[in-house]
Amino acid sequence: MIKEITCIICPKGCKAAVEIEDMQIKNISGLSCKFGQDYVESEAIHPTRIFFSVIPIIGAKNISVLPVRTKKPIPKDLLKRGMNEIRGIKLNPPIKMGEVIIKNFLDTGTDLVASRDAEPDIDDST
Amino acid sequence: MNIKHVDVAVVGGGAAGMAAALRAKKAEIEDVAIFEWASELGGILPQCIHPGFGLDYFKENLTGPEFIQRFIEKVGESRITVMTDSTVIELEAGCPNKLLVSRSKLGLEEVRAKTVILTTGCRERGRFNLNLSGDRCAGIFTAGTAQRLMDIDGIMPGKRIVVLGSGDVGLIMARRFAQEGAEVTGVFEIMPYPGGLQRNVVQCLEDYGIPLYLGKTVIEVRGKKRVESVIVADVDENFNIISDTKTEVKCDTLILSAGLVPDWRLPRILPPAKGIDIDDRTSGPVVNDLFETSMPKMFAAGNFLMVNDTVDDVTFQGELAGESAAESIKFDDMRTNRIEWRDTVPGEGIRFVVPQKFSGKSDVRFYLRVKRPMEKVWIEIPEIGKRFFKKIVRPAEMVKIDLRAEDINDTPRLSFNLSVLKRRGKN
Repeated sequence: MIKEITCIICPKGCKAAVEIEDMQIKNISGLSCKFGQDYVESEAIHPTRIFFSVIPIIGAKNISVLPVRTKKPIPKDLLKRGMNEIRGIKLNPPIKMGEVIIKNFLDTGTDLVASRDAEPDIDDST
Repeated sequence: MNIKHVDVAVVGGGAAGMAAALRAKKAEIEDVAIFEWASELGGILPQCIHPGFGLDYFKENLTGPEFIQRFIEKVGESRITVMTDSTVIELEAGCPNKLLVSRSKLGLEEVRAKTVILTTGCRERGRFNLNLSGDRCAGIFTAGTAQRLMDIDGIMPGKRIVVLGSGDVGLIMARRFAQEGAEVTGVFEIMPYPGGLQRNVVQCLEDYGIPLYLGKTVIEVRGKKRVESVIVADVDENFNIISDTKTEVKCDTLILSAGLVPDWRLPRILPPAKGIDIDDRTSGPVVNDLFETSMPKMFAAGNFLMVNDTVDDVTFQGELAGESAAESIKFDDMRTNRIEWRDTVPGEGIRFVVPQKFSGKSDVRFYLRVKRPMEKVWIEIPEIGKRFFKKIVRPAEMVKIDLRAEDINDTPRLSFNLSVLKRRGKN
């Protein structure tokens, strides 16, 4: 079977043709870099995505929600469950970029981490 | 009025501005200052919470906030003056350049700068740029505004979404709305091909089953207080509406993602200078290969120079502008004055080429956009007998051509032409 996959690692958008036999990749053609190779391999057999969203944060400077991401990609079919998993969480500053928000997110072995620093909002009008 | 003196004044504290400031500082320029109208550095990136940033620059897959925090931290560690809540409202060219800065809570301040780097970024085309007729109701947002509401302020702008235009921010917001449980009825694109990057079409639309309608556009908005529906219709090859294809689509929110333009709103550039020459093709300033504008000692980079695809390119451009600004201070007679600048020409199939001018004395990276998608093409530069093969070119994806100084040495000009692959021997 040949699966056509558009590589999305960079703006080039190479069209790869992946030859699959018994869930094994036989051949990949049409790519121009090694990053694309890894992506297309995993996309063909078990597609993954970096999960990202925002979580409300109370009393932070400049932001009302904190952006979060999984450190590594997780299976694509878990993305919706991820949104449910973080519903209802509220955070408080200070938080540092890279700080773990949920360990072993959805049992994927990767952590959900903060995408930026959040500092407490100190009223400087006085 | 308080007068401040600096060597390099950077107008705009996004990726290009910070990269420029850091590079000028690295070149041992004493007083480098960044003026940023928002309350924090970062430009647009703090609200771009999705991954895909830094693949070129850091060789890592970062989110927007992660990418930009690295720069914010570096700026914090350097001795760069950062002025947030500070809008440069007027700019008068001269020796030195004069900047009038409006500083929140502190009032007006005058800044005199040996060099200025303009990195004000771009803005989105809004409803009235698109001549979108109909009711003036609530519920019409540009994609960037919706992004800011959702991903900085935590406010959901609507539940039933139509996206007009398939620019990158629109595709990304279509996905964000779908993630948050909104119903995204579709993305309507007037052109016969998508406006955004391929990866965004795949990851934002295909992943979430959001339909992309090509050759179709929104022609009218309907609603009393809030958007209730939009009228969509097909267009012919001359973009005229085909009347009998008009359809009403129910929605409560219309997201506009129909192009970005370099942001010239502020600072206002004052006479006596004749103003900065503008390239009609990019809507940004005309620059030479040092990213210097037609006004000496005034540089430009990033999305203000031309609308880019990736922050990586924006960053590289900022660094070049920062380096050039530093050099123009160190060598006060500025070599640019003595150079006869030569022109680049966007030829067949090419929408623009940046830089628009070159010296022939240094290596140059040329940024090009093509007019329409094509496969298996050559980009030919007849003056120097060079051509570059491209498997595919798309208007949404910037083409980069690197030329070495020795290749362009004597040529009086460089024109870039797109031609389809012909069967002949290798160059």
